Amino acid sequence: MLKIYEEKRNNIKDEVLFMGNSVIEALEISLQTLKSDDISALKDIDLSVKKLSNKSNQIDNLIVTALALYSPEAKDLREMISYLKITNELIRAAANVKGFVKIFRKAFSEDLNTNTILEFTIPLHKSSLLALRTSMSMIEETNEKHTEEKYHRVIVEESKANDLYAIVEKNILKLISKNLELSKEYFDILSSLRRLERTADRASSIASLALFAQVGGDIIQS
Amino acid sequence: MVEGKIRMSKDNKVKVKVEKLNLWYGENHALHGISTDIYENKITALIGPSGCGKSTFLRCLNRMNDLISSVKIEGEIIIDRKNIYDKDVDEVSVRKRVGMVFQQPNPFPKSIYDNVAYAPIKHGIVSKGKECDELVETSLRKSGLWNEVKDKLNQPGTSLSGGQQQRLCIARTIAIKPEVILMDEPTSALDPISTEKIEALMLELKKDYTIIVVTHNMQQAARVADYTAFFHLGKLVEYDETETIFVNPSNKKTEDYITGRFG
Amino acid sequence: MNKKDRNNNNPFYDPSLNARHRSSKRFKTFTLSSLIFSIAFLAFFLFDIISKGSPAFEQAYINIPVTYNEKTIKNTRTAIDKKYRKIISRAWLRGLPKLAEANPEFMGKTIDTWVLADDQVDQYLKGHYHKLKRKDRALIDNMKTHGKVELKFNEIFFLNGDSKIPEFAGLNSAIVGSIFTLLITMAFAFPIGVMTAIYLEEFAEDNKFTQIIEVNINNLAAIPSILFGLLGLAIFINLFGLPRSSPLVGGLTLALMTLPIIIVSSRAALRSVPDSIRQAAYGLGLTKIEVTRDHVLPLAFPGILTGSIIGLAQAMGETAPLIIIGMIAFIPDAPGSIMEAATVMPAQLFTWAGMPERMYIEKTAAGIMVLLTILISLNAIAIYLRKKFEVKW
Repeated sequence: MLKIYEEKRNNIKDEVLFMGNSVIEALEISLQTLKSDDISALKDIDLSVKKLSNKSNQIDNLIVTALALYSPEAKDLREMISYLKITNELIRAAANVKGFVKIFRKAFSEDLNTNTILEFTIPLHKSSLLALRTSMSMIEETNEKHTEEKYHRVIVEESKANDLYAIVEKNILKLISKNLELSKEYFDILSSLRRLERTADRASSIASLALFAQVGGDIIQS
Repeated sequence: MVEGKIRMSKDNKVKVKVEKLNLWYGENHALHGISTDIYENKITALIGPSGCGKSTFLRCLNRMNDLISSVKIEGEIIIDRKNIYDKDVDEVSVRKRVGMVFQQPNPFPKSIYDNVAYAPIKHGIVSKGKECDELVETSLRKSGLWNEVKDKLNQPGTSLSGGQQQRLCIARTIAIKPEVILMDEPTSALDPISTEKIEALMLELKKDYTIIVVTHNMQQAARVADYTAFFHLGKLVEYDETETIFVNPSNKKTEDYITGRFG
Repeated sequence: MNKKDRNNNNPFYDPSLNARHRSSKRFKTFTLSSLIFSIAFLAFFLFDIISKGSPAFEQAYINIPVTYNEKTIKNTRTAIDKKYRKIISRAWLRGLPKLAEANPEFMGKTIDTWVLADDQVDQYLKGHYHKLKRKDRALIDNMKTHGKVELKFNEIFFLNGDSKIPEFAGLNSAIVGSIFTLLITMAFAFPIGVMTAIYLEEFAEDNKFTQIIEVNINNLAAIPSILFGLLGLAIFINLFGLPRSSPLVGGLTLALMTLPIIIVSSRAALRSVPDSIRQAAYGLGLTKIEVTRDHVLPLAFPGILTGSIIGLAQAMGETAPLIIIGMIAFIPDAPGSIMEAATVMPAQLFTWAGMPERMYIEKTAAGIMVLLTILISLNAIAIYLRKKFEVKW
C-alpha cells in the first residue's frame, strides 16, 4: 500500500484508540473508587463528551478524505468503515459512562443498603470495563484467531452484565418495596446501573465492528 | 473562470506562473486563457476527459509545442520571473530546466550508461570519466533503478522491461538537473506493479523537484498529487488542493467528471 | 454411430464451409504455381548461362619448342616451327620479346613452352563450331595423344583487356573501368543523396513547395536511364568539357541516375525512426544537430546503407546512359586514372555480343556470370551490413 495511505490510516487508528482510552480510563478510575468505597472521588473523573464529540467529527472527516483520495478496498475499506462507526459507539459509551458517574454519585448515600448495591455493582462494572477494554484491544489485534477469541469474550462479558443487571434490578426493587421513602434514590441508582449495562452493549457493538474489519462478513450492530 | 480556494500558506512558493495562455492549432483554438500558479516541490496533477487540452498545456511548459509548425501561442509562462516565451529566451535552455517524461517509455537505443550520460555531457554539466560515472549512479539510484542495472550498464536501454525503461527515462531526465519535471501520463503504458513503483518514486522526487503530471487516471491524481487542476474543452475549470477536489469540488462539471458522469 | 449421427451431435459441423475452404486451397495452388513458374524461368536462365559460360574459364594451350635468339625476337614468327604457326596465337608470339627479357637465361636455347593456342583450336577442343583445316586437326589430335595439348585455367580472361584477337580478349579493363566509375558514382551520389534526404526529412517545413520537390524526386527515379546519358552528354561533355568516355563522366552520369533512389530510400529510413526518440531528445534540451546526428541517423543508418548498396548494384548494370557518353568504344587497356577513356562491364559484354568470332559467345556468357556474381555479392553485403548495424528495439 502507498506509504502516504498507511500514514493516514495509522493516524486515524491512533485517534480512535485515544478516544477509547479516554472512556476506559474513566471506567477504571470509577471502578477503583467503588472498590475503595470512596464514592465522592467520582467527581474527579474528567470525561468531556463534548471534547470527544469534536474528536469524533475530526476522525470522521479524516476518514472521508482517506476514502476519497485512496479508494481503499477489501480489508482497508472495512477497517475505515468500522472506524467510522466505532467513533459513534464510543461517543454513546462515553455518554453512558458520564451518566453513570454523575447519577450514581448523586444518588449514593449511607442511607441506602450500600452492601447490596456494591455487591452487584462492582461485578457489573468489572464486566463492562472488561468488555470495553477487550473490544478496543481488538482494533490493534492482527491475529484472526485472537480476534475471534476476544470477540467471544466480549459477548460473554456483555451477557454477564445483562444477567447481573437483571439480578441487581430484582434486588433493588425488593429494597424499594421495603423502604419506599428512598425509592427515588434507589431508582436513580438503578438508572445509573442501567447506563453501565448499556456501556457493555456498546462494547459488544464495537467488538462486532472490529470483527467485521478484521475477518469480514456483514456489518451487524446491536 | 477558475474556481477553487487554495489555502495559501507561506510555505507555498510559486515555481511556474501561467498568465492568460491561449493556443491555436492552425484554426483550432485549443487552450482558452489559462491562468494558474504551480507550487514548488509539490505534485500538481492535470486531469480531464480526452481532448481537454491537458497534454497540450503540459507541452507548453517546456516549449515542446514549438516543434509543431502550425501552433500559435499567446500569453505568458513565467519561471524564475522570466517569461519563457520572450523572444530572447532560447527554447533549448528552457528544456534544460524543465524536463519531460513521456507516456511510452522511449529510451535511446544506446547503452543504459549512455542513455543517462549523453545529455549531461552535451550540456557540459559533467565531463567524461569519474564525474560522469558518479552522476549516472546518482541518477539511477534516485530513480530506484541502480540495484537492478548496476551490473549491466553497457546493455542497451531497450533490453529492460517496460517499468524499468520508464524509470530509466526518469533517471535520464533528472540527470540534467532540471527544476521542474513534466510527466505526460507516465504510467498509462505500464502494469500495476510498475505503476505503484513509479508513484512511490514521484512522492520521493517531489522533495527535490516540482512535478506536474498529466493523468487520465483520477485515482492516480488522488493518490499522489498535492494540487489538482481539472481541464475541460481547453479551459481550466477548477484548481485546488487535491483533497478539496475529490471530497468537495466547487464546480459541478468537476464533480460530474470525478463521479464518472462523463468523460 | 454412423457419420450422419455424429454430424448431428457435432455443433461445429458446417458443410457450407467446404466450398470456402476449397476456394482457399485453389488460391494457394495458384500462388504456388506462379512461384514455381518464376523459379523455372530463373533456373532455365541460369542453366543456359552457366553452360554457355563455363567453358570460357578454360583455354587451350599447346606445348611446343620455342626458340629464343636475336633473330626470333625480332621476327617472332620464326620462333616456332612452321607447322605450328596456324594453331598458335599470334598475339602470344608478340609477347615473346618481353618473355625473353624477363628470363635472360632462355637466350640461345630452344625450350618447350606452353603456348596459347589459336581460338579455332580452342573451339575445336571444346567441341564447338570451328574453322580448322583437316591437316591442323590431325596435328592437334596427334599432339593431344602425346599430352602436348591441354585446357588450362583461363587467366587471360581476368588479366587482359579487350582485344580483336579472341583468345587474347579479357574482362580486366572493363572491371577496372567499372570500379573507377562506380567509385565516382558513390562519391557523389551518397553524400549528396543522404544530405538531401536529411534536409527534406528533418529540416524542411511541410508546405506546397516541399511536396512538389518530393513528387519530382519520385518521378526522377522512374525516368528511362538513357535520358540521363543525354543529360550527361550535354552538361559534362559539352558544357564542362570533361573527357569523353572517362570514368569521371560515366560516374557523374550514373550518380545523377542513382541520386533519386538514394534520396527516396534514405528518406524512408529516416521516416522509420519513431518520433518518440526525437521527442525524448528534444525534451532533454538537445539541439537539432545533436538529435539528428547522434540519435536519428544511427538508427536510420542500416536502411540508408541498404538503399545505397542497392542503388550501386543497379548502377553497375546500367549500359544505356554510358553508351551515349561514349563508353562503348574499343578499350584494350585498363584506364590509369579517372580521366582516361574506359569501358564498363555491361558495355563490354554488349560489344562482345556483337563480335563475329564464335569464342566471344562463351566469353560474353562468362562475363555475364562474373557480373551476376558481383551483383549478388553486393546484395549479400548489403544484407549483412544491415543485419550487423541493426539496432534492436
